[in-house]
Amino acid sequence: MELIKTLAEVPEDELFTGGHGGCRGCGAALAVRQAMKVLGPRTIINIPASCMATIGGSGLTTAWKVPFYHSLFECAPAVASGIRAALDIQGIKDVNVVSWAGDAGTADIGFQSLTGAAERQENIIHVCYDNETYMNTGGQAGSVTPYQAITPDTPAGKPTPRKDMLAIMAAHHPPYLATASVAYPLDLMQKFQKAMAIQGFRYIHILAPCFRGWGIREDQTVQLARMAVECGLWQLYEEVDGRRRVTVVPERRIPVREYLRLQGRFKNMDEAAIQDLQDEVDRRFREVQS
Amino acid sequence: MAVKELPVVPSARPGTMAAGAAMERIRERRPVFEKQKCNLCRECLFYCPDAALAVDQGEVRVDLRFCKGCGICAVECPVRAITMVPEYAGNRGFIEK
Repeated sequence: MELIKTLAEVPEDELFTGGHGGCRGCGAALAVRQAMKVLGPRTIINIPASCMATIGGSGLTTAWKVPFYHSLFECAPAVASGIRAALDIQGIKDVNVVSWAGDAGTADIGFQSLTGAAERQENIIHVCYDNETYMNTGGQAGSVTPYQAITPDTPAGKPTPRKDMLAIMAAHHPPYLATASVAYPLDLMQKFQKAMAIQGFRYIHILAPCFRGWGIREDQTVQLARMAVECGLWQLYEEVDGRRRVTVVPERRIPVREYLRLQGRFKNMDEAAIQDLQDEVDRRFREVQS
Repeated sequence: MAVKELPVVPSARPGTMAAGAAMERIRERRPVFEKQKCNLCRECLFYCPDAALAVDQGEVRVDLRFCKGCGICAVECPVRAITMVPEYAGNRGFIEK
């Protein structure tokens, strides 16, 4: 397998076209565009209720150029398992079956079918595009919403920290698991290439900021995704058969304060809480990088 | 009823949203490229959520049917070759074609 080394090598075909219904500066649409560049036309994509299920159109028009199925909220990995079984029985081998869910379709509402598919070692790729809130229904807090983030149902800031979804998925011992970020497209596309070359249950978790939910400007989507990596809150690594390899070491480290203060949702966070988070991030950064 | 006799559910033709795209309805500003500064690094192509940018005959072109004017390209351009200009001119807000 030849990994993409430069952006000039990436195919020009758009399998998720422009004209879709996403907001300006949509991080989710950006993640799909980058991933579809390498997933290619032999892909069946299956998306449960989420922004991404709606912005690609429905019924009369669509932005997808690959088969796209909009499943119910709780069952994307189960539907993908069924699609794979139907392909297997027809003897079709060269198709990527992808269940592409938001953080709610992965960590909360979709979790039972996800853990089931991972346990059965279904031959699918599950992608979580994580904007840290339920943005399709107005930005409610979910289990991966960060500590102290203001949402419509945590108006004083979320009282509990974010669930460690990567640790939960790593406990299923998948053959491939990776984190990615829309700010590092080459890294993201290489991870999809590696995932496609492996058989079995593969899990990719992409941080895809949402300007509405995060309280940032629409042109800051990529900037904030990069700052999440630079401050150490979101680390880019992959695990092949449980062996971890850090894929991007940020060129500069920034304090988490810089990242948090740019976002409207953390305006209630006091200095003591930021310092606690900084200590936690430093500890976690050393743990992953070593 | 046998599976083969089930009715086929109609579905949209691939990529039909691109054909009907008219983002000037919602765009407030648009990117303008300075050809002299652009070094064709292609980063903006991968940071555009709307597939509005492409390299064509040695320069980056913006497809104004798709561009929603978010401005990510202007923020992310490493050589600052992109500026966002207002879509509307005059106090009545006419669209400049």
